[in-house]
Amino acid sequence: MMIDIAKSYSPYPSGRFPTDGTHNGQRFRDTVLVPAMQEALRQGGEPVVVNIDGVRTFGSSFLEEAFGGLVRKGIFTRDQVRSGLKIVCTKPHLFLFRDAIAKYIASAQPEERPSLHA
Amino acid sequence: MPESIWGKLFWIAIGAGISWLLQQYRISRSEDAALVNEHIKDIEKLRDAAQDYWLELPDDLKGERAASARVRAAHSATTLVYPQIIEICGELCDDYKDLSLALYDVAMGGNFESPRTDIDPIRAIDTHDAAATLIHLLRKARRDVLSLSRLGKYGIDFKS
Repeated sequence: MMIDIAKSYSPYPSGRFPTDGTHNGQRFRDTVLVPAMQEALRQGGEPVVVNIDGVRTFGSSFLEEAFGGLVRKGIFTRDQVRSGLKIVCTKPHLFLFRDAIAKYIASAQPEERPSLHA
Repeated sequence: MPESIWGKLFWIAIGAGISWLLQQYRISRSEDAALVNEHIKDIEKLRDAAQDYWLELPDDLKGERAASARVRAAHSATTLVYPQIIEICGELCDDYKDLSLALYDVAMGGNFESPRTDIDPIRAIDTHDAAATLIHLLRKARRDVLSLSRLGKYGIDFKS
């Protein structure tokens, strides 16, 4: 499965939360990325390919929320994200964002969920 | 005496060849050094735009969007040469990648592009620190670019 961010979401993604604008990171994660990854897992584990070529620039807040948030929110484990997601980028000026996505996935720490006994 | 003339011509040709190679090396290194200089200027512009963003609170949403657009545009300029600078940095390339990502994180992370109710002086200081550290590394890489010891490590790049 292939997700072209510029075509299927926006060439100008920005912001972290829905309050930051229409094309924010949380919305991309929850409405595009997570359903695609869940579907890919159901179909046998072929990785979801995310193409970032059509986007000119990303805010760090968008990328961290969209990709780091997969692990931080406990939606997937880090290993599931690493094996189930492939970032494709052919334009050299976007290599930094590809590296940033890898870093956010590697460094995201799952948030502690509130205990029922607290 | 013909042998000695041919011998001299041989050494002159060898000398001219070495001079030409060193000249080519110097030209390609000078271009790399110029690219590093331009990159440093772009990083300084990003630092200034990010500091303005984190230290000023616009009156309305339009002002907020304009400020974040200035940061995004300034950052975009720094990414254009990211792969070339990685190559130029040689042994320092991993440090360059880490520091570039650190600057990106701090300048455009947190609640960047979110509606704000207060300025963020800590993030402004961190942005300045990250930019200063990256610029310091690039100056170090620029010195290395012009050194002859690099010739032994990487040879002459005739493409540039």
